[in-house]
Amino acid sequence: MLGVEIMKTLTILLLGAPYSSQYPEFAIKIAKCALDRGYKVNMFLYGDGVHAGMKNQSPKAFYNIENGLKEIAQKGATILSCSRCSAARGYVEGEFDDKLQRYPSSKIIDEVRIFSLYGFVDFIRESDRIITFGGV
Amino acid sequence: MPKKLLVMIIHPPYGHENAFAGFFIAMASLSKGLDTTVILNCGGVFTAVKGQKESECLLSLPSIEKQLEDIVELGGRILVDDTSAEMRGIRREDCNPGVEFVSAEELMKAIKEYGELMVTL
Repeated sequence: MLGVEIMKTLTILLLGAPYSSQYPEFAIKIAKCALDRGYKVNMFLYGDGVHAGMKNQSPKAFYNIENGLKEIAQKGATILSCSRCSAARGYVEGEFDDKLQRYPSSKIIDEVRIFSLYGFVDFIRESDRIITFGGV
Repeated sequence: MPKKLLVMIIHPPYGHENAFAGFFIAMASLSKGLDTTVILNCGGVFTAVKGQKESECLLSLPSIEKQLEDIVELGGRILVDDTSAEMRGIRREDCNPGVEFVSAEELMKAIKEYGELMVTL
């Protein structure tokens, strides 16, 4: 088709917390594969999934989820974390910053932006597929 | 082609966050103009039961039934898997009038139509 490929978009909804299940690790691995194949990838951390964005994780025997998120962000993934879920779990430390387009948190890595649920709706609008990890 | 979202809820309300979290997604999606359908199956069918008490006195959670009515008011459809309901002794008349009881075939049809953009909680 004239050699033009349209980039497809995958959105991952992550509901599972790191280390208590393998969902975050698997979500990151799927994201990496999709990015390597030329997909645009969005990830939305929701419910206990917001813990995945926490700074200074140091698992002794497990895959480091913080590093995984940094890696997929570096490859181009957009990662948002639900503001309602983050506030409930103590991550939100102030009002929404219009300039930075995020709620402030000293506990969350820079690669993850705390944002309202409408961010997920925007992801849906541009997505070809959505995968949920951790809902069951 | 306009986007359509399917939100499948398989956990009952109150014991887990999932039903509330799914309804929040549905409300956000509907309020932004996306065609949104919610499927309640497995334990999620308990979400459809009418007459659920305001839960402030129990868990400080919002009323799931109020959320359900808000979704219907915003134009969302809420489909209840009739098999999951029957297994749990939930009858159509036990449920909020805003929900629709559907067969497995009808659920399959909805999943085929909306399934590319589906979240499961």
